[in-house]
Amino acid sequence: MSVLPIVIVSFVVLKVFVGLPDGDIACLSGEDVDTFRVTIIHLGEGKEEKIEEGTHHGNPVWSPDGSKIAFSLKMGSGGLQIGVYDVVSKSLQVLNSSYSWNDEPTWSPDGKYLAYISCEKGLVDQKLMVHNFEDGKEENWGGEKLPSVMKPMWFPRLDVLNAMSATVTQVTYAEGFNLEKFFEEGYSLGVLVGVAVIRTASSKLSTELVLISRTQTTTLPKELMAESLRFEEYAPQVSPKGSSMAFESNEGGDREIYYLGRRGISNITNHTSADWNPVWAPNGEWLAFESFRSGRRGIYRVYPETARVFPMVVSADFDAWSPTWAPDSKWICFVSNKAGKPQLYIKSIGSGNEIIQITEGAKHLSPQWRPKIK
Amino acid sequence: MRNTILKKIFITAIIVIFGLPPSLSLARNVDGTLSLIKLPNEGVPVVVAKGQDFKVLTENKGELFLVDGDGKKFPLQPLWKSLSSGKWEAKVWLSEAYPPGAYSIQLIGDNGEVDTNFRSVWIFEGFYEYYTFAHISDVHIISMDSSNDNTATFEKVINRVNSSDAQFVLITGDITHNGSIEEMKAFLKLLNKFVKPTFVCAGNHDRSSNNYELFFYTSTYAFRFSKDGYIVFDSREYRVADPWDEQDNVVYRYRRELKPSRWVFGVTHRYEYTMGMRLQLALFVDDPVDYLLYGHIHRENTKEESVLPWGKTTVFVVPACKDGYFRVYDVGEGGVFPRELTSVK
Repeated sequence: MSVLPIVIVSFVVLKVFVGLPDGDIACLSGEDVDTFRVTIIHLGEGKEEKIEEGTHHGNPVWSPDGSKIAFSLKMGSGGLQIGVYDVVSKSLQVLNSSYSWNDEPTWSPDGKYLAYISCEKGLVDQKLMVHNFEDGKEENWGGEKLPSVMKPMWFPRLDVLNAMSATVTQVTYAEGFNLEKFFEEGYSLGVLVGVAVIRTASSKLSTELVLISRTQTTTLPKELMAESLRFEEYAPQVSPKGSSMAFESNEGGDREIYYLGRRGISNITNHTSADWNPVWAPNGEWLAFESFRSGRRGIYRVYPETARVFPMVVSADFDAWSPTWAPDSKWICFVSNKAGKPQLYIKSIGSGNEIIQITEGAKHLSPQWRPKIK
Repeated sequence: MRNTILKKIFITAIIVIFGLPPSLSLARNVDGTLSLIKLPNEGVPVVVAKGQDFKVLTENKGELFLVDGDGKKFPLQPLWKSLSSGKWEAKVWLSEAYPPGAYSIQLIGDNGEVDTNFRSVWIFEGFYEYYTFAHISDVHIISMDSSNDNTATFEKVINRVNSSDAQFVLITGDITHNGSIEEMKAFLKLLNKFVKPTFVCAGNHDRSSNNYELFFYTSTYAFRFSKDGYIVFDSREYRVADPWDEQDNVVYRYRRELKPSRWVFGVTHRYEYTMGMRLQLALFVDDPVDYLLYGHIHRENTKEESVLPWGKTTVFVVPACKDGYFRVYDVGEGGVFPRELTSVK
């Protein structure tokens, strides 16, 4: 553990007098992909902690109880593996995997399972693997109907299953989908949403949102996502309550954020510039997202029920991206190149345009605010 | 800094006394890395017609000049802007006074330091709907010594391209074998033998530290030629075009700015299925570029590889320069037409 440079020290002084947020933020720090290492910024202590094992770290994600960080890394000369770092014991567990390229880890709501994509080539052969921490075994989920998948995310609660069972006679699922089995597995083990990569009849790739249980996969019911093979969906984000979902789609000509709620699907960011990367606030009220609507990449928030958009970090002189919310939903941390090299900044949701730089030196990217410790 | 200035003063004295060729005069740092002027440079030049404007990125403000092949200096009247990164951006309008041709860009900093990037500004009389360009990849330079196979082959390719009707040259990565400063310096010296604009990007063999950036500043940029747009992007890393860093910011903006173009080209070192999805969505899915040019695999693309799996972008891969290959393309209203591969071996 090393003492952070002047920026963090200044931040700690500010924190005492101005009431800035406390907490920990995991991120990637380094000069390039080869040297990226998962680093924890301890805002309260003004210190940073870098995980030194392995190389090429990526995609850090906190466990729901905030005790561990899962991320992808390269150990030696092989491909990418999944590492799980215990922030209390400061020990790293590297998971055994069947395939050479493993990435995009995502925790089950109870922290007992870790799902990730696993492949040899990428894009067209990505399997959904699930590591069970109780028996230490890896299992391929989704069954044979899942061609290739990316961006998996667990449903935090099973409201989606309740909603599906309420409308079971009104919707059409994928051919061969066993709904009964899906419910059974869903209630006992959990359900994920992911982006399936499908080769269409014309041999072109397309993407579809899919619901995945241990042995079952279905596209979203056709009553919700008609003609979805004409569009490319990406980055599904289930709301913290599990009752709604946001995702990206290029339906309408450019990339927009769509909201799947009680009243069906709606475009909530409608703009001629790209809108992407939705991130739910932990209180489930707001979605942060990135947009180029002011020229450069900036961060906005939208209230999904009304589709009202508010700018959060927007400038003609620099970019801002990769927002992550504080557990109280009152602050965001993000990356910006305002000072040249990408660094982490924080901003209060309620305040004006003030942003506060919290890192300096090497690049800092992909921040993930530690969830509230239960 | 003081040593660098002293070295430059020494070199200046040598030039005054012995009249050494312009290629040694006050250009870059002594080790060949970029000095005051970051962009444009020999690997990221400006291609412009009279009456158009371009931008110069520098460490300091100062007096800017274009210098022609005879050493004649043309003062520029830039509009300077301070950037939040601490660098300076000069916007330059080209009046009708500058004859077409190749120019060096020269900056005399406010502190008196002089820096020159050769072959960095190319003024064209105008652009035509039909034109040609050459595509080279995988040069793998190890040394400046012509007895080395890769160097000798590259020199033959340079000569053939110089005598061809190509109007500019794309060099898509693996310019060196190990990415060392010495190899970069050797490549730069060879690059300056081209008599046409040369647009360069890094390959996986060039990823040692930030040596590539020290010589060419960036592997992510865009330019226009005739009615067409070219988006050059970086695919050198083990995680190809990772989604966390800045590249997605500019690639999306370039794609948007170049949307009105007749044809839009992606230019890079390689395409991999594991390439960052955000970049794939921006360039190949939401608003697909028309063509993707790359190298890396040291062979031509197969028929199956001739269209990206997303279905709309046509792919052209050129075999390795170190094996003696390059290709010239004809570009016009009907599309892009690759000629037969040229081999110098």
